[in-house]
Amino acid sequence: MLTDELETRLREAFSQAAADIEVPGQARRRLLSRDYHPRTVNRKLTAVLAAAAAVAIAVPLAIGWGSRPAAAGPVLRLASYSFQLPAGYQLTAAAAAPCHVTVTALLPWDPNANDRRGPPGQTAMQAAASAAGGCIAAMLAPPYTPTAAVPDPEAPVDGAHPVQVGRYHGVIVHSLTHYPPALVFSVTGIRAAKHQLFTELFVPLPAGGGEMRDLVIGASQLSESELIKIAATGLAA
Amino acid sequence: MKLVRGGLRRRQFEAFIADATDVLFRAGHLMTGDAGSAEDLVQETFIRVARRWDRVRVMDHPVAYARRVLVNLAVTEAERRSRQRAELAPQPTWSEPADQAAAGALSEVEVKAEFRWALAKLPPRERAVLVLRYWADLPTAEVAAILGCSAGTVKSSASRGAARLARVLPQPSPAGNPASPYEESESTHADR
Repeated sequence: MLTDELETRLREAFSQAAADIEVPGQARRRLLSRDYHPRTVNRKLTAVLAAAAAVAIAVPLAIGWGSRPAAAGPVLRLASYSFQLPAGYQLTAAAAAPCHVTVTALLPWDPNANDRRGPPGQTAMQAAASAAGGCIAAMLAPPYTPTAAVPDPEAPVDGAHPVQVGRYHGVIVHSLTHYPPALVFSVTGIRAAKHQLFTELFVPLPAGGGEMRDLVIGASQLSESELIKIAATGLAA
Repeated sequence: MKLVRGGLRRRQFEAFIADATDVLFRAGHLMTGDAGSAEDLVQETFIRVARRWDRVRVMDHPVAYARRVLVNLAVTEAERRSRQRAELAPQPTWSEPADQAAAGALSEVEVKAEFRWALAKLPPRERAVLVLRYWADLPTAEVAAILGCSAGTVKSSASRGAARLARVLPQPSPAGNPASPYEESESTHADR
């Protein structure tokens, strides 16, 4: 319970303490010399600039430039195809972190009977990684002969939906990968595996002689549309 | 005309800065116990006030508004630091009194230092309540509005904080309570 006497003593103590506080000369000069003043905004000029910016964005999109990735990164090559990746990615070994998780996930959902691929590091997979831990990995799967029962042995059946990739038809699927694949035992105890959303695109391409082979391209930190753009641009070239 | 209005607006803001610097710096120092942090707080406060200057400049007490911004900035920053387990209070260069007798023997300077040290040791919101209530001399309801809490919380915080400071408070001077630094701007508050 605060008494009047205590409140009086508090007020006096605060007053004395504050009176002892002097603004140092240099601090005062700094505080007074800084420009805090809000900039006045010319609304007409702002509107004109905004309209110009909108045109600058809309025109390239309208003439088709928008189908390319927003910024240029490295080029990932598979056979005769060149896939322009977004900025911020660096080509890397497929078996190296963080791509080893993505590459493992890229292995076929239903193994092709004629599949003679080795482990991820030895396949023809190409990969690129970003500093943020993202990975884009791509490969051309072994040729196969489509049948009515198994039209595409590479592509998943569950959860996949058809997409248009330039002039090709493909399927795309989103899945949750676990890294590490199980619980991890560490000095701090058991911690859960990390989950990583993984997007995978399958595009069957003619391989000659009635056979097909899939372009399989997957990414851990790209949206569906970004992945389709990368594939469509590379396949169109 | 726009240039004239802009010039007037700028001059008003510069006058406000010149007028408010001392008061805000003292508030910042009481809240942080440190001159460097106080300067940072004042600077950030001026930046925020500048953004809303068209509204602030027509207020009855722009400095009181700025102090409100500063105290909230100080509390937010102190709580952020607390979450990072950083010590807000400066390391004391003097020792805590062993008992009331020792405290009574401290010189006036030591008592003031002891008070600032004890103030800096309080939790940020408790400190803010005391600074606003007993230095800025604001009524309980206004302190509650500034800190976004109930009047009951202000009263209990003030009671706890006062109890912790009580042993280091100087004895009342014969002249009574010195004038509040906000006497002019806050004298309209009647519900204390």
